[in-house]
Amino acid sequence: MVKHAIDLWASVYANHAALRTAVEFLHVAGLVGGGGSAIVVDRSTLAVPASPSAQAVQLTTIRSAHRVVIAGLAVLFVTGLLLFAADLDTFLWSRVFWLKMGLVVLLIGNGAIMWMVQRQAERGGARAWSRLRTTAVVSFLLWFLTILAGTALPNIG
Amino acid sequence: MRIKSVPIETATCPDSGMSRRAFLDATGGCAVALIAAMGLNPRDGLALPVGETIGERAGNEWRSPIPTADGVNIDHSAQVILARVQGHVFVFNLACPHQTAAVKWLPADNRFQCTKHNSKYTPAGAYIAGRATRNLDRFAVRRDGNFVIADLDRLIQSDKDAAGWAAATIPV
Repeated sequence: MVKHAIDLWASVYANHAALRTAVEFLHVAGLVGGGGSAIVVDRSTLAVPASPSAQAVQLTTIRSAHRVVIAGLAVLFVTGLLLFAADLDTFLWSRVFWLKMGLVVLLIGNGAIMWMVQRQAERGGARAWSRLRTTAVVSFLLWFLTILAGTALPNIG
Repeated sequence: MRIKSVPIETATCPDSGMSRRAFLDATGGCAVALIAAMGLNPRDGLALPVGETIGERAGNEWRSPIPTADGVNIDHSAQVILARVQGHVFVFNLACPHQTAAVKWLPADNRFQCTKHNSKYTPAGAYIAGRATRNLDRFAVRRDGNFVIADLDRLIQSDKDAAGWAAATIPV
């Protein structure tokens, strides 16, 4: 039953250019929206001055960015699942695909840590800002590494 | 802007009058119906099965048992496709001739398709449509008892060696 559903989805996906365009567009849109927002906030976190007022503004910015990033990740997850199902046999055997999935897991884990550290910073935790900057650097790197893996995916098995 | 909180059970879309719960029920029902319809695809009976095969590598040769029935087997480690189609066995390169992305087998359509630019090929590797400009590349093959042996150093391109490409098959 599941195999039939996946085979049919692969066939429908392979035979409809508009569907492929829509799924791929949404995948890229999720990346640009979610990843773009995350990268912008990561950069501003690294650049924020050590004044309490500037840090308070930055914490508000991070909090609002979380929603956009999570929405972007949700779109990426759903469309990624559709892309995976459309080409199951290729992706299951692709080392680059599993590398990308590993990076996505790290990205989500780092996002969860960033969320917790942000809460500590809001409560005035002494070392919270230092940790927040570290998670921003990691987030920045992981987004670009994930993009690199995604770009390599069609070209390297 | 202030957003008024509305319980999930009673929230309605102003334009449609449909509650959120009713909308979720309807879309969920459609998804279940779609999945059920997928399981009843009448074309599945025509599809060649696809499987994984791990052939033996010895130097430049790749060796695998000849499939006992029509079907497509892919050896990802060796990057080759073993296909038995209507009395013929072929060994193809897994890479599309256009930009060397992997080709995939579509059981419901009974054909190969490139994963990158969607070039299409018959089960015997003949080009149907897309950006590619030739058939799937075949390896030179020979029979050894119940085994097919492909020479991985002899990849035959149909536009350069049409006769060699046509001959790269084992009748069974």
